[in-house]
Amino acid sequence: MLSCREALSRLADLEAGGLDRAEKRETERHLAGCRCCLSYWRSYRTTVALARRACSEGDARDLPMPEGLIRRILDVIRNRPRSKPVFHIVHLLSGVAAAPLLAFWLR
Amino acid sequence: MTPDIRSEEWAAERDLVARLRGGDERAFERLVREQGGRLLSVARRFLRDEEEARDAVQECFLSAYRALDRFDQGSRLSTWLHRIVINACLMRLRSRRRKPEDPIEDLLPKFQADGHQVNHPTPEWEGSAETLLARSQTRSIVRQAIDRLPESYRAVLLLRDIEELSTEEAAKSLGVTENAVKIRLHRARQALRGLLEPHFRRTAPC
Repeated sequence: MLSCREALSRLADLEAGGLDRAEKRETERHLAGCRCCLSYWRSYRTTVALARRACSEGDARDLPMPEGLIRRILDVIRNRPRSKPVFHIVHLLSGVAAAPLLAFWLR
Repeated sequence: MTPDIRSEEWAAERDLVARLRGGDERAFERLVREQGGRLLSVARRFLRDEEEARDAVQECFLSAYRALDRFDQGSRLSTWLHRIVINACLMRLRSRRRKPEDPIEDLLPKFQADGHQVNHPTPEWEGSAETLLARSQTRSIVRQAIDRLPESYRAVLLLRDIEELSTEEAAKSLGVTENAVKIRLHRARQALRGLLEPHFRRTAPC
């Protein structure tokens, strides 16, 4: 039979359904026979559920953005036009074209 | 004939992306208004500082604006922005001065040499998550407990359990192996359980 240490080390995988059939059976057998590990497992699952729901529910997911922050972001975007790959190619080509001219001029 | 809402949503999103790529400022404003509140909630959770959270959201939209040409049309804009804001938050957490983290060993179960639990009996809790969440203070107790976790554990718990990133995605975001994420998540949950136990255990042991 598994020890408590081994059983508790498998709880994350048990919760995620990541144990193979034999490991799952072994772990569940331990939990069924060990009241303390069973209590621990129940409170472990409750902890995960509480964390998920306490942070995601009623957490202002649909709250509007502060108007000042919207303005700030739009101002920044306005002042930084998005560079497009085509511009990079133009810059590169103009650099390549300029090199012989520069070499000729420096001659 | 019933209209296919899902395909209509996709079409609307493709249209929005095309307008964004074309530099349509009103489309960008719509994106900021629709997605910003949710992204700000994510940034607040990670950074626990209002100004830093707002800066992270601004960085997120700026990065998205610059990278619009690389946006994969097969994924959702909201998912893409979610990943970008998380990365912006993680960058900020990394750049904060690192304080030595408090050990969490006291919050983990203890074992005898033969592998059996030391702290017999483990107390039962007062109820399921649903029962406990019906109480007005539960959310605040849980959030405060998460905030008390050392940063490296808090980050992995937020990524996996709250933001629902896969182990692979969390590992990439944190720059660690998938196995390290699994181990850290398990320890983070155990430590959180230890912090919550005094609030939720039954007075009488099991």
